[in-house]
Amino acid sequence: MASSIKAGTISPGTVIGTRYTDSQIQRDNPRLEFTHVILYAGNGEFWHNLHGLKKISIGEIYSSKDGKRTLYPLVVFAPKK
Amino acid sequence: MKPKIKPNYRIKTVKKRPSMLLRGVAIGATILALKFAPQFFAADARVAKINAEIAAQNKILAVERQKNPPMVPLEVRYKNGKREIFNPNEHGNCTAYVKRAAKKYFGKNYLGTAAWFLPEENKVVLSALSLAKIKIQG
Repeated sequence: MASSIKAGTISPGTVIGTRYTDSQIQRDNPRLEFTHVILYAGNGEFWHNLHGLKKISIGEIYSSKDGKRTLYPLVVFAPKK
Repeated sequence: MKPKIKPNYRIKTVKKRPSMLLRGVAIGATILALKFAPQFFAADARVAKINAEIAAQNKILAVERQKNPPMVPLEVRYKNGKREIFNPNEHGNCTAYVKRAAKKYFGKNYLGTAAWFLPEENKVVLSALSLAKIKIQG
């Protein structure tokens, strides 16, 4: 993902669909590919609304919290216009 | 007996004619008013016309500004968005927030009511496989 940010595929304002493994919706609907979305804001920061508005770094997406990783970016979106 | 005629005590007031000087001043003022009135009204009309033109221009500018909002530097957008992160005043689900923030701070209009509806309504740039590859590379 870092390289696609550098390449410009993920630019500020890009929405990324992520699989959030702790999500109840994800557990109830295992067929759903992803149930959470995050927004790339620039400066290597991502903003999202997960139990309140939060900002996370790219490292936090890939690192595991308490020995368990919960966020898996899957799809990068662009507006249709 | 001859009826007694009561004397008429009512004193008629005589209006004093204005002096020649006053009359002259009044006539002069009237002449001046008649002379400069057209110019005065013309100036008024000119000002009104200019104001109307400015108002029309402002209206056009407002419409254009709505169509193409002025480019706000990315750093400013980032700062504005960050401020909201720490002072959240509007909530919603993750999709609602992301859509709103993308539109408000980055001018990108995404569609879809829930995360899993986004692929139907928007363009998919990268899929899971390519992201996994990128992850390995990065």
